[in-house]
Amino acid sequence: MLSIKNLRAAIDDKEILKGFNLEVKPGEIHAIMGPNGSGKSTLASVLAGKEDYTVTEGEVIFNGKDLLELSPEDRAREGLFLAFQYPVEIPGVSNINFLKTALGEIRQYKGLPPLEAKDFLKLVKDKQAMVELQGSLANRSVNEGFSGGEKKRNEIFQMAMLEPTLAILDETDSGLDIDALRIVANGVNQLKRNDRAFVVITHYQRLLDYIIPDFVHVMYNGQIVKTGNKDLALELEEKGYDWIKKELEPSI
Amino acid sequence: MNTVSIQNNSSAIAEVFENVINHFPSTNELKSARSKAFQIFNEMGFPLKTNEEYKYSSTEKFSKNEFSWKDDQSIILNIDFESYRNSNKEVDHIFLVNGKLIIEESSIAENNNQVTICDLKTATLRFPDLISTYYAKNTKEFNDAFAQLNAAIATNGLFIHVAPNQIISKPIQVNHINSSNKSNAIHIHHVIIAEKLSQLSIIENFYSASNSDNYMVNFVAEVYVKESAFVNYYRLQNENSNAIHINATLVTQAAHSHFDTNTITIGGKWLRNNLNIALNGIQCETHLNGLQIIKGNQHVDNHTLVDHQMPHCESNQLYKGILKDKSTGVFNGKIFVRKDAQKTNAYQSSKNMLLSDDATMNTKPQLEIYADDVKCSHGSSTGQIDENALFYLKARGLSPASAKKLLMIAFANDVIQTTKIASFKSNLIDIIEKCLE
Repeated sequence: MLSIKNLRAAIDDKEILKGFNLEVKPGEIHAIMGPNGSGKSTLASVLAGKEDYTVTEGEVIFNGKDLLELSPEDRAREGLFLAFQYPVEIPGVSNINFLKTALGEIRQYKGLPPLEAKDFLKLVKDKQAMVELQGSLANRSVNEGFSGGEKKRNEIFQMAMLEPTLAILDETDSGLDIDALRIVANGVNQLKRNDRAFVVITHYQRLLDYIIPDFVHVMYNGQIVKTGNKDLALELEEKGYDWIKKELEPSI
Repeated sequence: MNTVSIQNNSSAIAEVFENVINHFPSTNELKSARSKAFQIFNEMGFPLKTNEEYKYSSTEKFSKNEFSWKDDQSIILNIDFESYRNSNKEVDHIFLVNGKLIIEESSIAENNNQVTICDLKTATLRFPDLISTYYAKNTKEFNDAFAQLNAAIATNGLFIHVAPNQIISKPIQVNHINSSNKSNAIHIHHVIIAEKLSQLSIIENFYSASNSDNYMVNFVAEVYVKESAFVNYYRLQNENSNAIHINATLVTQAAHSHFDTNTITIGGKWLRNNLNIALNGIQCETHLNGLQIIKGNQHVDNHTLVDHQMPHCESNQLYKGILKDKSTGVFNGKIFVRKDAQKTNAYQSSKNMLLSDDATMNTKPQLEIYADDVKCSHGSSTGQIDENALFYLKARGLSPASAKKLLMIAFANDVIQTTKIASFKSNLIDIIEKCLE
């Protein structure tokens, strides 16, 4: 589904991704962990198509297409979804109105007819219930005045509405209390399907108690330096990252 | 005083003035008010480049005698009034063509003792005392050449009078359809009086009869909001791309009165809006908002003046602009808080979005505060579209065009939502959505 080979990317001439490789197959959940500044969020931004980053080398194939050639909106229309680490507040743009436009344009791209108004409203209602998002929030301006937890739940709500094939969750668990964390994880688990994959970027093992990953990758200095199963996350939680850095040292 | 700038025009304008003085129905007071205004106009001349008030809005075209000052008598009447009426069925429509009231197309109830609506000529004959008192009462206080010229020579326009205690619940929509192919100067002058404890809502829309019409409108509205009266006065300026439009809306509020106004500008070539509000009673409230969405070579200059003369008054202003292409905008907002105006709350905000490197916005807040127990604030920002918000929307599958449109509508919406007439608000939303396509 997603194949990243030797990806190098820079911002303002500073290289952040330094030969990143990752293979994601349908149905899989990948967790990416790593210390601050290792390039996790840069990876998410580059995949979503943020213009601030320059890709200098490597390739990303997504569902058979060259992802890096696509505009951000076409990446979304092809089924890529990024749950933002810092969801943007957009005063005056209603959540519902914007999702209606987004869904309409995605369906048009896929050659599907627009949803009937009543079908759209039913979808909104069902998906809202899934992330326990109050109806009033869905009608408000995008993320404006939302608490941290509401913003993250709103990201999962949008994901549920847009039904991507690959979802990247960029530190969606950061700043969430345990109740909000459960709601977010529950939303993700309900969206799990054989033809849908997740890349979960996180600082904390705790999330992975709720979203069980097939693979745990450790990212350091712009690369994946270690891969394991969910036990690796527990080990990282216990011992921190220094032992991995030490393991790497002889090779430097 | 410099009179050089009007030399080319002076004889043509003087001829028009003589004609008005000699032939238009009048009273002694009216004659003297017109003569006084004409004298001031002659002393001032059209504003020169050096005039600080017109620093960003060149008025050279006026001194170059590009206009025909004689009243254009040939009214073009192949106007589809019905289509205007259909645009909003929840209001009473009044039609003015080049300022002339088209009675047969307008909804004016006869024998209605709540509200009187007629043209200036009729008002002068029927209500000479009111006209003597109120015509040019506010313009006298406004030292502006265009307003003085208007007061001197205007013969068209409306007289709207709401009797005390009368609540006019159905909004009145005044549709101006301006038309001239001879670069005519069109002078329109309203006198609007809302007596004590009355309520009135006016929507005033400006259109051109066709895209090829070519004219200049010099418009004055004097609005007298008496004690405890409520007046809503909303305006949509949507003339063609040749139209030059100058207006002075001069408002006086008495104690406990409310005035709510909104100036929405999307059409026209060169516009200057003067909005002066004198709060000369205690506990007045006034809201003045504006939105301009302009493109091409359009120029829109909004000058506001809120004069807090008495204690416990509140004024709020929010002006927003979306400027595309090579368009230019000006916002100059003056707030005076006089010595006696303690406990004043006065707020002002100007926010602008530039969508092109060639668009220009000039903003100038001017606060002069002589009282010591007041709350006043002003803020101004001019920027581009929020790139983070744009990316967020694109990352959800929206095309750049629809993402930008959503953001612009959201930006404009703040001002539109301040409008209290639902039917006008929904009209505005449609018009603005089209305008941002």
